[in-house]
Amino acid sequence: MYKGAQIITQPVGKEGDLMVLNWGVQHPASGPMRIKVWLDGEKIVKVENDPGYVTRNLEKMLEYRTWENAVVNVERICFIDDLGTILNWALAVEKLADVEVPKNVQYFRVILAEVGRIVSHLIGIGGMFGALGVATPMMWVLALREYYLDFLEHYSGYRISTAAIVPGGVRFEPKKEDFDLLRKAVEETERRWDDYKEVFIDNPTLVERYKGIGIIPKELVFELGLRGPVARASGVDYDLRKRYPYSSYEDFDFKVVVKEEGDAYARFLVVLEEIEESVKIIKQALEGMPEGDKWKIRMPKKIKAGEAYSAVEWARGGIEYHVVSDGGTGAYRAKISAPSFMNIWALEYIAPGHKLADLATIFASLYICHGDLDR
Amino acid sequence: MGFESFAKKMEMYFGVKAEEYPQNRVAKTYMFKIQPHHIREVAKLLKEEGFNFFHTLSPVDYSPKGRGLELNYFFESIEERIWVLIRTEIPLENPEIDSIHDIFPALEACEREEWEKFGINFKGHPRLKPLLLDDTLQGKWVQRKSYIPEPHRK
Repeated sequence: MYKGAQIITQPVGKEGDLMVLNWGVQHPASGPMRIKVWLDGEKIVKVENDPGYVTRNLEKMLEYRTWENAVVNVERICFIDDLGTILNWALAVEKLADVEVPKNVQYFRVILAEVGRIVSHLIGIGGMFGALGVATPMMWVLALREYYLDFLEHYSGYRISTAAIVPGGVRFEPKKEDFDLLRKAVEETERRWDDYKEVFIDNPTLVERYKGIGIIPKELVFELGLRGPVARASGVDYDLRKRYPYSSYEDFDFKVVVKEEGDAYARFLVVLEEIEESVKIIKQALEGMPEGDKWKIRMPKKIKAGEAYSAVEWARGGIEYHVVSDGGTGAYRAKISAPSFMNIWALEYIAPGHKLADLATIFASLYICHGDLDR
Repeated sequence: MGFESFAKKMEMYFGVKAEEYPQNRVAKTYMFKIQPHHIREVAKLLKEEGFNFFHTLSPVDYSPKGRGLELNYFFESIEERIWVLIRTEIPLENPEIDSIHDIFPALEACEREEWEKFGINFKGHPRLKPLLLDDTLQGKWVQRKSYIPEPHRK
């Protein structure tokens, strides 16, 4: 006989019975992850993260790949912005092999990395609206994203998981049509951007649900080692592109978007404004692209024993690899330190005290990708 | 406060000197090779001297090379823009080290992940329980070199 829904209750502390709710694994706003929520009525008392539903253990896989093969595994850390992760792998391997790539390759890598950031940030904004059930802005950003995917598809043959950057250079020589498609994407962004901002920034639904919610104080950023837009929205001016420039980022004029409020709305604004900065960088790189016809340097099959630590500013924050070589054809050990894995733990600190409905917006504003959370 | 005073104190208290670590592509880094039982004191010192940003905990299993398990802790001083790498080695037969999650809360998740993958017992950690891996892989310490994954196809 059907007895109806069973409410699981469990005593916590001296407060008495609280309801325990499993938010996820199949919740539309959570993605493949479970968040265990202890509720007192509508109020969140305690939150526990339970990730690990899409773990592939890429760190072990990388030990069985050659230096160039590993690109395929590395780019699958997160499909949304795969270019930043490969760029970091390429830089780490080049550091191990003492190889410096030419300036034109560095500029084109910057273009690819920034395209990856735009593509990812557009989905991120879509996700933040998606958590509210507002579908129109989500469709708008996905429509704009297509222009950048067209460029990636024309250049590498794939829309996502492009394998466009390899240790020693980029995979193909970019053709004139590639640059034309990219210019078209940039123009389209600029043409639409004012409309987008008008609808996105002062969107009453968004402002009501995001402002003053999930405030991360500056101290928590240092305590938990938070990275990327989450850290910058709490007033921490930390961007690896500016702080420790790599791949000729020092040549470009852009500003690091920093907000002081630290709430979910500030995180939304940081992600939104970073798209403008990325567009600025792409335009400068297209104009100032140095002459050069060498797009890939031959890399040695075996790389001498040693280790390298490498970090780049990825869409979600700094992604960092510690790669050890024992003189073989592949990595002896590769540690992947991913931003979502650090940022997700802020949820356990900031969610208690909010209403259950706010959990979706706080989670979306943390800009988590389950691919790099679980690896 | 700062790197100078940190390096001086490290030499005075633990007798270890700063070594250049040019392998970090990102920033200027100094390496300190410490004894594993000093980790808590070193962590407290790091925090006092302004190395307040934790980056990565990266264990490397050197057992096929006749060595133990090497632990690499990467910290950064936000003000000084200097990184510090704390390196220590523990035996693989009995991998035990004190947890420093209460000094750097960022390490709570990282230590939990490395416990799950390497079987390092972080003494004093409040929740060493499965985090990422599937139930069938628990206790196999998948990231150690002795673990050979079963291939999907031959």
